Amino acid sequence: MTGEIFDIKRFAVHDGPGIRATAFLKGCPLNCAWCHNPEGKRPGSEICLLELQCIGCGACAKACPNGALVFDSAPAISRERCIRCGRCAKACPAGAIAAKGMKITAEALVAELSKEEIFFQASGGGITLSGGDPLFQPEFTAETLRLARAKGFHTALETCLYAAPSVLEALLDLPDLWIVDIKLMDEEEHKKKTGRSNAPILKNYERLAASGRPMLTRIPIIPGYTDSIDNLNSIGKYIAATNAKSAAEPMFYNPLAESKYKSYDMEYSLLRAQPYTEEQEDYYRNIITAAGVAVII
Amino acid sequence: MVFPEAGISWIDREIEHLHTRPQDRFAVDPRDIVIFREEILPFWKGKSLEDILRTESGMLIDAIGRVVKINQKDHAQGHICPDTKGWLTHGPQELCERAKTKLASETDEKKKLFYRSTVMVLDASSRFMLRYAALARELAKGSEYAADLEENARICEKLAKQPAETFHEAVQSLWFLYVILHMESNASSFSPGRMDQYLYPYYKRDTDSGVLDNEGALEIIHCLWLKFNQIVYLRNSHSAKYFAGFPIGFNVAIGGQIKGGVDAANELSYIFLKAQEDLLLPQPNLSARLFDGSSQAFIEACVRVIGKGGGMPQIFNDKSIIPALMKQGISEEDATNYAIVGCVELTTHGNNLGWSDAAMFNVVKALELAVNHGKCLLTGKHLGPDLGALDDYGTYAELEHALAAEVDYFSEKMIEACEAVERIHQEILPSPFLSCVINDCMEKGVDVTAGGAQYNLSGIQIIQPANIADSLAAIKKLVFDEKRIAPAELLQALRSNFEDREPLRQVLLNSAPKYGNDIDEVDEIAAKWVAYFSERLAKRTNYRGGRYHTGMYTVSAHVAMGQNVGASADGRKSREPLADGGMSAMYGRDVNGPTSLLKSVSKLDSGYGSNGTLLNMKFLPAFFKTGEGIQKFAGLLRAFVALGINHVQFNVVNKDDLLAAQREPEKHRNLTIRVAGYTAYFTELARDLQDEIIARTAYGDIA
Repeated sequence: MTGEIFDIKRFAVHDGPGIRATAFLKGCPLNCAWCHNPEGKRPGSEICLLELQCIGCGACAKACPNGALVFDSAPAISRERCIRCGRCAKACPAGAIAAKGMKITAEALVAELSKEEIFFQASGGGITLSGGDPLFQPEFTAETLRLARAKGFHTALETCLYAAPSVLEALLDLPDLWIVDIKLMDEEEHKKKTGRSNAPILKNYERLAASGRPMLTRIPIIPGYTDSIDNLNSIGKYIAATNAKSAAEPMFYNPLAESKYKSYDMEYSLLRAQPYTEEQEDYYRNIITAAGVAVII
Repeated sequence: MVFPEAGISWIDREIEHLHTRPQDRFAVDPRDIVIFREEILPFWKGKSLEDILRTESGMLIDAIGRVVKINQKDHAQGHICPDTKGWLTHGPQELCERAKTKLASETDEKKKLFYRSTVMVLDASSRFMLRYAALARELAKGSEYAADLEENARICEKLAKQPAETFHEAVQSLWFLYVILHMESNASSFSPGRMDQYLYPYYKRDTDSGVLDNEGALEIIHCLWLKFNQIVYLRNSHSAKYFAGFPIGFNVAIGGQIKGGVDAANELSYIFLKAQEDLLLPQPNLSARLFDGSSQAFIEACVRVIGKGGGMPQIFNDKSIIPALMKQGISEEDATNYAIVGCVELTTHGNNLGWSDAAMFNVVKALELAVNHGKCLLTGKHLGPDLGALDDYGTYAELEHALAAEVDYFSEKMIEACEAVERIHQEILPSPFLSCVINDCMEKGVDVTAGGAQYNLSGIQIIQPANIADSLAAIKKLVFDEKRIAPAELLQALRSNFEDREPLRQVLLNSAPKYGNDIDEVDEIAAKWVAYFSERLAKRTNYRGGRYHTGMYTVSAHVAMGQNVGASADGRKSREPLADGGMSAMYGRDVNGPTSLLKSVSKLDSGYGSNGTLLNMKFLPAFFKTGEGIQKFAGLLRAFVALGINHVQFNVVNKDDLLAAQREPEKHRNLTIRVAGYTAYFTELARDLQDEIIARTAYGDIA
């Protein structure tokens, strides 16, 4: 069973209990403006250009088979012409170009994550599948989780829950912890800002809640997108009504994503948004708490 | 204080510049310069350890100087953990009586001399304490602190005659011991060791009887902690570059285990942590011993103090250190009771002259010679044997063979030089007072410098596994395996310091595996050369009849040692610093995070680090802000124990703080940072060392 990932993070400390190793799987059905992993949205490699590391040798342009990469004092990629073959990345001596995305078998992925086993044991950690969205590659996700569980690892799965009910059913009992997120309660708003309706998400959320599987609900709080009082209040109430057992963890907008968009020549619509102050963060937490949900800091 | 018997010529050369030199300045009164030149220098010139060694072995030491740095050439060795427990139990008077008895029955003239000298210094120690008693009594007159001063006078007077009984007396007695040791020897790192163990009976009795509470004990410890910062040690300007930031090395160990794997942490361990948290001063050098049985409460208490950013406590690992010491012939009981001296050097309590800083061996420089006909890339001079150059070797094995030959050649010369140093120490710097608190000197009637201690080790540092591994891995993969780079091309690039060859340097940096990322192929190269060096050395006996063993720490020497090394195949430019610490990765190259770094480090056999190892890691303060973060950090420390790594220490800072401190030093004088095996004020460090600290990887960064 082969899947596609774009990164592995060791010493992951924000993706579940203890010290974890997190694999980021390619592909996501949504298209959120604030996504901090834009390179994970679609299958196939994404070519990342880190200009600061460029030493100006021009080897990349010579390696490009399609004339997409032009070198004129600095490399520039025509994203329309680029076929994402990754030859430029191979040719670059300075590591200024990278092709993000690789095929890997579930066995090999679990073997790679197993390198952290001693840290899992010492800290009560385990592995986490994130993305993109792991539900975009359901069979690969299921196989990876099964293999990890067979090794005795704690497993967590991070997903936006936009998937067919059958996908959820097939995976339901596999992760030890479901980490899911609810972004916007209003369906029209959800369509506008993520490209999809939230109806399948909420349906899956309710199914998951009813199953009693351990879960944690995350709420991205993004300036101008999800941070209205109305929205946060509705999400809080919704969580409280469907699943009193899940705590809520606000995920505050992180301005560091901006530089990532630049390296993929992607447009970043949150340009120049200011990060929240601690007082603002407390204010948002209070709205959610007031709606009846325990909030994790 | 100047110790002319140890070193005098360097003071003559440097005395006018001590207040302006780049690292660790000292104010000197011009009148003292006159006294020094007119009275001290004429008498001692030619009679000091420094001068005699220079005359007898200067040529040898200089000839190998670019590869091997021989230490203890102009000062006493120090780096020793005296039998403080015995000192507290018996006091100077009882020890003096014992020496007199020994003297009375001794027939050997040399031993009689030894006993006579110990009687003199012990008697002088009692008188020294009485002088403090008199002074305190004098100061008490009309003072608002009269009661305290009278009590101090009572304690000093008592300690001159009999052993300590209360906690306050024990701490005072301990401090007297360390002051007197520093008066006898111009040296750093007389270390108290496991104070939470041997002070505990005094603490327990006083708190049980109600004469002392925890607040009172903490106040006494606060005072002692302040005292630990009052003695600084004058190094020559060269040495100050290697050991920057006024390190003195009062190393205090807490926690760990006692016989039978019982958790040794007690109330005092927590009081010491609290004192550290309250004061955040560079001294003492607080070290926490951890093992499988350490309580979660103790580990988390350590983590909380680490999170304050003073770089302490540094963490030591019973699981790997106890067996490493036993491999050196140390009994299980002594190994279990190990302590740390100075920065990270390992020792037993009260019975070992570890001579832990005998020499530093720059294997990276040896590799430079191996690829270049035994010639220095910086000067073109012939330094070592010529087995060929990189473009002469047909295989990687031939290169390894040449490196082994360079290592062997310089190891032989190093041992010769170490023996010369020790011989002159025995002649010029016998240490009778120290010998009174190191077993079995008194029993044998032999001075500690002459082999009177029960254990007589000599420690050699292997510099620097990360650069060796990265360089050899790059050559092996890119030159010999993949043949992507021609040997002559690489050699030319190294000779020209990569001039006009930046793409090639980038290939070395980016297309070969780097130590510190949990990649076996490169980590095993580091392990292999550490083993080679250590095993060869283990066959040799030192001048006191003990063993040579190895450590992996540089203190701040990686900057100075790097200045000695030309461009290297790991992509490092000529004269740039080597990897810091000892077991750390080359800065910026451990890109897989702290767990991968720990895994890489764990592949080096910790048994070859029985003299001490050093691993630096840096975390941002955000990590320590939540209970969850502290728990996860504790998990990381438990994994560190399980991995069998001897030592790790953590800096907690962010880059902006450091840059701001560089811009406006006067506003950041309080910023302490762990340089290597000790904590120094950041603004007191030389600029290149500051830059280097800023360049090190920061973990826990967002994204």
